[in-house]
Amino acid sequence: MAMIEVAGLSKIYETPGEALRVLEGLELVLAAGEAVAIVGPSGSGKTTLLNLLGALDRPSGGSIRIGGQDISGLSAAEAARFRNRSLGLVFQQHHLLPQLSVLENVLVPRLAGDWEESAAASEKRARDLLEKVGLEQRLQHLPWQLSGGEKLRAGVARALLNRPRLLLADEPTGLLDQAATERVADLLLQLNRDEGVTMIVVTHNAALARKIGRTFELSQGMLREVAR
Amino acid sequence: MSGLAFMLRGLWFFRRSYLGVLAGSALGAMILLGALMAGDSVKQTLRQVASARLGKVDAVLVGGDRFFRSALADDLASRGAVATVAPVLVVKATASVQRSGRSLGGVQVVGVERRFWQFGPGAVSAEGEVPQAREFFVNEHLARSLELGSNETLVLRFEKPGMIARDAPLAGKAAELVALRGGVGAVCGDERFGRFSLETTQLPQATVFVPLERLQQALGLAGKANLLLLKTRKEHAELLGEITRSCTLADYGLTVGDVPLAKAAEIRSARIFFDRKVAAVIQQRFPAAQPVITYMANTLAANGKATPYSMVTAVAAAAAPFLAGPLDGVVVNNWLAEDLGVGPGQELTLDYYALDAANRLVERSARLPVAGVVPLTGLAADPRWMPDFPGVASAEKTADWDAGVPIDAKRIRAKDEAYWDAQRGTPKLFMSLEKGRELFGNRWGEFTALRVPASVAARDAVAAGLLESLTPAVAGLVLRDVGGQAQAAAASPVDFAGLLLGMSLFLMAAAVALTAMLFRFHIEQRNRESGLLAALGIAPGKVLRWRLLEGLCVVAAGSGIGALLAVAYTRVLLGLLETIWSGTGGQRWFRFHVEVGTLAGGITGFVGLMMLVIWLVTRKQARQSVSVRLAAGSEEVRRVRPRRVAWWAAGWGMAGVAALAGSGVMGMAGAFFLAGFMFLLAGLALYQWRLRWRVAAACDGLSARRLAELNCGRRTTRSLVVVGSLASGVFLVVAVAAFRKHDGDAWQERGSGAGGFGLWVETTHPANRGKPGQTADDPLDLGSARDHFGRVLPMRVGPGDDASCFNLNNVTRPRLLATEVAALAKLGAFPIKQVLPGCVKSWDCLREGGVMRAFVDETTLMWVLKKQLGERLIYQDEWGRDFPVELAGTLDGTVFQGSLVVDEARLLQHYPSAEGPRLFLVESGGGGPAAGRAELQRVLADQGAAVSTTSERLAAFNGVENTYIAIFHLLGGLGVLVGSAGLGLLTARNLHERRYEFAILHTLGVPGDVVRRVVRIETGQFIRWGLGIGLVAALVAIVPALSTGGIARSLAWIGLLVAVIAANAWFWSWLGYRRQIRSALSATREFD
Repeated sequence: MAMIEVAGLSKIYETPGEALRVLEGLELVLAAGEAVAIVGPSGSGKTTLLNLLGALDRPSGGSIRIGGQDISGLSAAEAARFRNRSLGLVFQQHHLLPQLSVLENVLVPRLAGDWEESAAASEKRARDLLEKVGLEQRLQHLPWQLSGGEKLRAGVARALLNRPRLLLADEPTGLLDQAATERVADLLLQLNRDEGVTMIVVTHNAALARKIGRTFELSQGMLREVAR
Repeated sequence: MSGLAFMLRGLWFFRRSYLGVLAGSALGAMILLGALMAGDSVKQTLRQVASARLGKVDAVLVGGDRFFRSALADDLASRGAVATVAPVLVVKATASVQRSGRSLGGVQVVGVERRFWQFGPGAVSAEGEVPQAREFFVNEHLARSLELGSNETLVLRFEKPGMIARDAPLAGKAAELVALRGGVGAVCGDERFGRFSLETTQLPQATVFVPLERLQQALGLAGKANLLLLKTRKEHAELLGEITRSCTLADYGLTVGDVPLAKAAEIRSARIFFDRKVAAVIQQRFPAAQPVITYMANTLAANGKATPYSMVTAVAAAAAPFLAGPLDGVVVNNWLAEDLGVGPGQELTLDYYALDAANRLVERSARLPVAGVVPLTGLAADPRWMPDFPGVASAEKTADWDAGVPIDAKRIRAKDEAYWDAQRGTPKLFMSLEKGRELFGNRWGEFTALRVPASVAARDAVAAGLLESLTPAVAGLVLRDVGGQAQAAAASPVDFAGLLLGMSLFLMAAAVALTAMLFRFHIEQRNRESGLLAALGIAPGKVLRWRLLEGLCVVAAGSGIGALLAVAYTRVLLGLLETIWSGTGGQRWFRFHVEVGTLAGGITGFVGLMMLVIWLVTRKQARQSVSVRLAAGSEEVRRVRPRRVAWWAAGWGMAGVAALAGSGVMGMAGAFFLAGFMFLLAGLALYQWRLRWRVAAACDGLSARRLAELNCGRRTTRSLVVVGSLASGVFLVVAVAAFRKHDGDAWQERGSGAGGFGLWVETTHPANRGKPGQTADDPLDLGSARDHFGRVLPMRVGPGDDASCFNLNNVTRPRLLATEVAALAKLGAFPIKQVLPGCVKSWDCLREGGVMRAFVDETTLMWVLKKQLGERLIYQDEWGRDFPVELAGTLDGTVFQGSLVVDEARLLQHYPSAEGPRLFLVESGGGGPAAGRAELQRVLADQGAAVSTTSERLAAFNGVENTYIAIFHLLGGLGVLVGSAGLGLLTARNLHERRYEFAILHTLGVPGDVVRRVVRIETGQFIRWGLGIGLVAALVAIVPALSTGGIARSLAWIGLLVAVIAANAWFWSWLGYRRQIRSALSATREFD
């Protein structure tokens, strides 16, 4: 069964004087548990695509089905619930909340409420995830006390708290050096294997893309799979 | 972690960012609550003053110049009709301190006995606290005014009241001053009833408390009182019934005696002339009652002979059988017939005194045919025909008569004295009742006696019948429910809470706008957090709730702090307001008070308002897409295209022009103010359009100016808030400044508020009809000093309270001032602003119409009475009956503020017993008002005259308005300060946010001076546009005010204000610039 079915997806930004067509008739089908990388030049629409897949933005046309659910017409509240239950998002700029400790940052998705999992169980999972990303010694630290790589790993742990079916990562290694990039790539692939999560990683990093395996190139609003 | 914990964590983490919001909330709450607390304090103070003024008094029976038995109090008490009752005798006097010679006119002298003190607001005083026989108690106000020390002796000088108004002919001495001396035994504070007064005002009245019996003796009114204080739970009608049942004929000033020769019971009035109302009641009860009019003839003359000072009587033949049928002429007794040598068929001349329309004593003459002669025997020789004229009835000799009219003793012959010795006041001439009414009737009444034939009723039956028929009101004794009225009056006509709120509106708006801007900064600072939470699937509503909850916590805490600050702020406001009432002796008399409901309502309202603002700001963020928020894009989303904003500007401008065109409908001042406001909005829309137009304009070369313009247009709302705050501040402060009143020096002009009169004189005792030798144009009896002054305009002071801006109480019936308005019309004095449609714009308007008409100062009409022209106020006449007074015109800023000016003749119709003039407008002579005042104070010292210049009076009224304007300016100035602080904060914030932009410029080799120039250009643009828009709009709004005079002074004041505002704005932006420029430029080093 396909985890992601994108058909005829387009996104147009209206600006004074002109309409900017970023995506146009984009098609994509991914099976559950797949990990893919999306590459492309700057301004090609990679982040836009990720925002649309993550229900952070609405498409101008076409449809997006995630796990069989059409998310292109969700209201803001429905979209939030969808992200909270089904998605994991990893950002280039980590976006950890400065007022919270690392452990609390990982637990932030629980703030949405109505989680079936108990608070204690969530906390245990958060600790496990932080251990898995190598931050078990940093649980009570505040974000400013972490290095760039550590912040990113904390962000990855947070993205996995809800056991997402789909993990979307936007330039996760953009600000990291080569060694840190390697570690993060390994971590993501391990999680993909261990958790069985479908993963889309947007990156400029060719090495990371190669490591992930299946790669698409976004160009002129269309996706084209890059042969290995 | 729960949502609450998360929210609290955010609250603590961003505490520094929230400090500004907290401070803004505290400021806003302080202003709002301060205004409400000031309102509460004024109300409570007025309630306390009303309570101190009237103590436990529920009702009063007021006699005024009519005196009843003080024993009426005992009768009422013995009937169990009231819980407590006290007889009081109240008169006006001049009080002097024997040692220092200081004196004060218009002092209230209250004759009291033990029971009076039971009405005090505090606990019942012990008997030992009652003034002893040779002792006075004084109140604090008098003690302060006269700077009384310990063991001082006070001398009271007052006019002995007559049983009949001293204005009336044959009322006895025109004026009889008596003095009373006593040591000051105690100074009574409010708790000891020292503030006792029936006048509805918060200002204390100088009062001396004298033992009742001593005052009665001094005034020759043994056993009499003119005021009863009553404490009762009875309803008005029931209480009135009890009083009526307790009254005796003596309380009504009536006596019934037998006239054996007439075989009748005779009713007499202590006031000599029967009130028409009383006479009507008697005649209704006893239709057979025969009226008698006995009057004094100055001269009866015929055949070249004259008989001086004789009594003449008008009576119907039914009451004087010796007249033998209806008279076709007069009947003289044989003594007069002999003296003048007249007989039937001849004519004689009767000279007598009467009052002319101007209340002057004039001698009139009538030629009367002699119809018969009666022998001086029987009823024709009965001295009882003459009433007990004061100064006449008890005189030993004719030469001793002191009738209050000029008597030439030289004319009195031995035979006249012999007649007086033998016959006393037996009339020498009789005429028909109709002729008597025609000649001698006056406004006090016509009849001097009413005789009821014994065949109808015996004396006792007549007395009983009278008691059944009469009521206190008919006799001029009015029962007033003062307790309820006082509390109602304590509701000030000026809603101070509303007034101060109105004045603080701009300051509040500035504080709220600043707080909103700070909250917005804070929200923008947390854009990424908001985006992240949304990205992680936290419902937008939940995030919004957390933000609102955080805001609520900060605003609530700020409001709490604001409430505490408001206590001090309120005291400052009250202190400013108190400067208006210098009559309180400079004491702090406003009591701080706050109602729990007001506080709770105020805080709730303020928090609600702030939450609405916070919700609007937060909601705007929540509407931004998650991806924008995550990218920390705090740039504004522009929804309105530049062209549309231009249309708004044009629309507001057109509305302003329309408002100017409609000045005929809504009045100049209103139309120009509205137009100014519309131009303000148009200016702001124009600025908004310019911001966007400049951003959208094609780049014709990048310069510091271009960079500055782009930055100003980058966050349009921020720029608009700052420019709008400055513009609104300038608009309000300048517009209000123009309404500042300048004390006029044009008092000499007839069309000025002083009407050309330089002096305002109020005497303790009324100036009654002139004394012998007193000229008609010298109502103040200035004698030889009269030549030093020009015209004197006497005015009678009718009922009512001072309704000027000095009185905080809710006055529904302003004091009536009556004068001969024809004289004013002839002079064309005082500026008449508006009259009823169909009326001539002249004082003559007051003589027209079916009801009494009045002119009122526009300020009083608008702010105190809150009425329109044509509306009517209800007054009670001398007998307690309602009558309307129509508001027929307005005066523009005159010395009559707080009073209604009416025509004297109209007033006397309703108050025939009204005392003589006590108020005089005097044209100062060549020495000017200051010299005139000194001279009048010297000449009129005995009359306890208070003399002030009309300029001072007008300046005092202007001072009140200027105080309000000063408060408005203070609050508006604070608003401008807050708006300027916003400019400083904005500058700092912009610099902080753009520090990396500056770093880039630095890296690219752009010198720091360029950065500074960019900032200066941006700030300059805000200030220029803010001041420009505000000033242009304000100048439109004040065109009518400028045209009324004082342009130079107004413009100078306005110029100063604008300069101060501009300097202030520069200062704050410089402060913000200083605060951030270093860190902004140091960021360049980090960038390196």
